[in-house]
Amino acid sequence: MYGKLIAAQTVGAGGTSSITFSAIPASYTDLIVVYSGNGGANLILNGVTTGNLYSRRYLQGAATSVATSSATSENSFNGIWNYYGSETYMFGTVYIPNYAGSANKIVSAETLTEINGSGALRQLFTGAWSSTNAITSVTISALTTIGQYSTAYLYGLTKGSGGATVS
Amino acid sequence: MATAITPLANITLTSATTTVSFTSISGLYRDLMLVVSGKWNTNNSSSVPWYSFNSDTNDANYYLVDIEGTGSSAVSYSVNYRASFASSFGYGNPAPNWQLISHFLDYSATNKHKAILTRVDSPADRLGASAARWTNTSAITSITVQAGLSFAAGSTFSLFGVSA
Repeated sequence: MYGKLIAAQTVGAGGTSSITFSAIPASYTDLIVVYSGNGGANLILNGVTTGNLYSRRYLQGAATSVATSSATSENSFNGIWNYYGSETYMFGTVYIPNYAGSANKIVSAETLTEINGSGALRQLFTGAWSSTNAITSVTISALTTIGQYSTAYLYGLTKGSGGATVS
Repeated sequence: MATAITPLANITLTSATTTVSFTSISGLYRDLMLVVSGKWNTNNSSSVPWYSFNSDTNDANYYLVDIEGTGSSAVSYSVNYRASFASSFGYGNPAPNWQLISHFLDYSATNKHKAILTRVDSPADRLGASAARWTNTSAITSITVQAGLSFAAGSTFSLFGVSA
């Protein structure tokens, strides 16, 4: 339930430090990133890692505990997929509406981290990117290494027109 | 069979408004998805959108439970009135952007109450998820989205049909 597949990547032998979807067309209205892999990662938009343009807020459940945190003025969506050692497996989706618009961007993410049978973490994550630029690239940037066979998919969703009334 | 998402309706507000309505919703799909990218028309105020289905404004017919995180506290609430989420959000000056994504499951079924799953993302102050129930077996043919504050101009409301 993700829309039109724009691009897909599978990590090869040796792993990688990042997965990037670039030259994203502006022909859709919303983007959806689906990541399934071995290795924690941050999310970076348009390759921008300076200027402290990212803020985040999350809510986590870890079976016996619950946690929430927030941060501002960062240089990526830090902790969108947390790292808990080499046997950390991540799954999740990131929804970015109006990615090509001229307003600041918000991301909505739901992720699961599984620590090879020794624990699991379910996270809701939201972040704001203080840029009015259209999003043309999305990078999943490894905290250490994204392992072989990890996959990432980028989908585009197009909104309709009309059909609503206001009062 | 691949799941298909079909855009049904979309509106970008050209002026502040408190109510957006989707009517004559086709029963062709399995679920509906509503994506709202918005902000309030008032600085330093917060509010929360609420839903009415098929013009049913009786709060007694709506139930909701949610989980919320502010960054400093994690809470859970249940309410018995029309709401997409228990707590208000979107506070700041200037009024910050937020988004809300709701899934209306089996909306066209006539043999079950309706379930609504919602994500709220307000990076400025709060995020969370809710599960709500409309205690009516009628198919949903209209959705009205309202709030105590006005939605600001530029806010977008997009409705999609999801096919099995």
